Amino acid sequence: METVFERVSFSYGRTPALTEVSFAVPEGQTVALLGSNGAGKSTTVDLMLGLRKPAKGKVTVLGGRPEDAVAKGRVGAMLQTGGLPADATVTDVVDLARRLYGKRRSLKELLDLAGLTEVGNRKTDALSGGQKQRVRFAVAMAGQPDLLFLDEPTVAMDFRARRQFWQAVKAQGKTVVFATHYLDEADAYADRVIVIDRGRVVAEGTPEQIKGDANLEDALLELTEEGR
Amino acid sequence: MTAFVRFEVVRTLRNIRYLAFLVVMPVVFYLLWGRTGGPAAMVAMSVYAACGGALLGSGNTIAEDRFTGWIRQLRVTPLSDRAWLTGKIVQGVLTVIPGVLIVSVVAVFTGHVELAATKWLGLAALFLLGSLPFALIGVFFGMLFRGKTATVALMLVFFALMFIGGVIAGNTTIPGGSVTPTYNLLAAGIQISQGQPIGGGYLLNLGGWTALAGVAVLLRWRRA
Repeated sequence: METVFERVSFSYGRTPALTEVSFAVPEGQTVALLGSNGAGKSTTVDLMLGLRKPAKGKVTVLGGRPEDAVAKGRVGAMLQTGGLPADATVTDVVDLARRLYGKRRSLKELLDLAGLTEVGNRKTDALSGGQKQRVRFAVAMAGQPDLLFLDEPTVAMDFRARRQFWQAVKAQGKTVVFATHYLDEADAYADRVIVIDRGRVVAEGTPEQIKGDANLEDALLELTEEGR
Repeated sequence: MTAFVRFEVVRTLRNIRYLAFLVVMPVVFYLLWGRTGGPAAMVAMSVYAACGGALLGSGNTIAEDRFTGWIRQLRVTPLSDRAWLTGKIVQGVLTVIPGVLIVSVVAVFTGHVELAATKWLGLAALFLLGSLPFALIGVFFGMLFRGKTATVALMLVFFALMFIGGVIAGNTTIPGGSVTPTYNLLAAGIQISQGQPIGGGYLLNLGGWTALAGVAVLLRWRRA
């Protein structure tokens, strides 16, 4: 049940976003897509979710087409640009997600899991940035997905919230792909790191290998500074 | 899809602006000018509530959800695009009910409107089915414009249909007014309330608008 990119290319009009990108996500692992803003991370996530089609190459998700994996509810995703609906409470949104995925979890369980029990009755526009991220996380987890996509998941969170968030993700023990521009986040939580720069995979390996790669020093330094 | 429709309806009912504009306004209009107008005034204000509710009920949120990115999030859940579209149309029709219902209740108690049960049933059926073209126009505009632009565009369409269709201005004097779906919904409703057979032309007109708006939605949807 692999998730694989085989020589995938994609461009927005004439601007290439990804060029011949290949990598594999082994089952049960947490894989980081590390790159600066505009490197092609979000495009990669869109392709994996079937929101966009590759111009060239092939994307396989859990052994099949991305849109099939999504339709069967085997994929959960937290999108960077996935806003929350206005005029709805946290409970409304989480319960909707739960029902769309066929009630695989109870509402209470989901609210607990994402740390939302106390703000359940609050409207989405009255939430802090970190709380909104937790609602997105609950939506992503609603279907007990086999594969979890997280696009810059901790951007609006402080240090403590980030740690709690990752504890909750890791507790699921599922395959996770996350896009980040924080080197320390990739280092701390990923089993494998795929470094993307200007639409190409420039390095792939364990966090130790990536950090020890002298050729990557410049690119990584840039990321660290941009990070915090 | 039921869960999705329920979510969207609850969400619309939580929207204070929606309630003020589409439920309170027609009731206020009725109380101010309609109490002596008999069933016709009630039907006119029901058209106001139905047309507004259907146009703005779902169209508004489509434009807003496209703007905030919530639609992208929905697209990565098992909710299919087809179920989403159907759900939004159904929502547009359902959000008509509160306004029409409250206008009718107020008319019964303050305007002494008394109708036979069959006439009430006829009106209920007419307003549910007759809201379909407006719901489709709302969905189309929600797909065409983003964010607040759609709200403004839908408001303009709403008031245009109200005035040209002669719902607010009384007897229509504007040329071409009889082509509007509002005029035809109003005329059909008055016929029912008077116990007369509905002219086929009115229903044909509403059906035509439904088909036209439906095709527009599908064309737009394929492009999106």
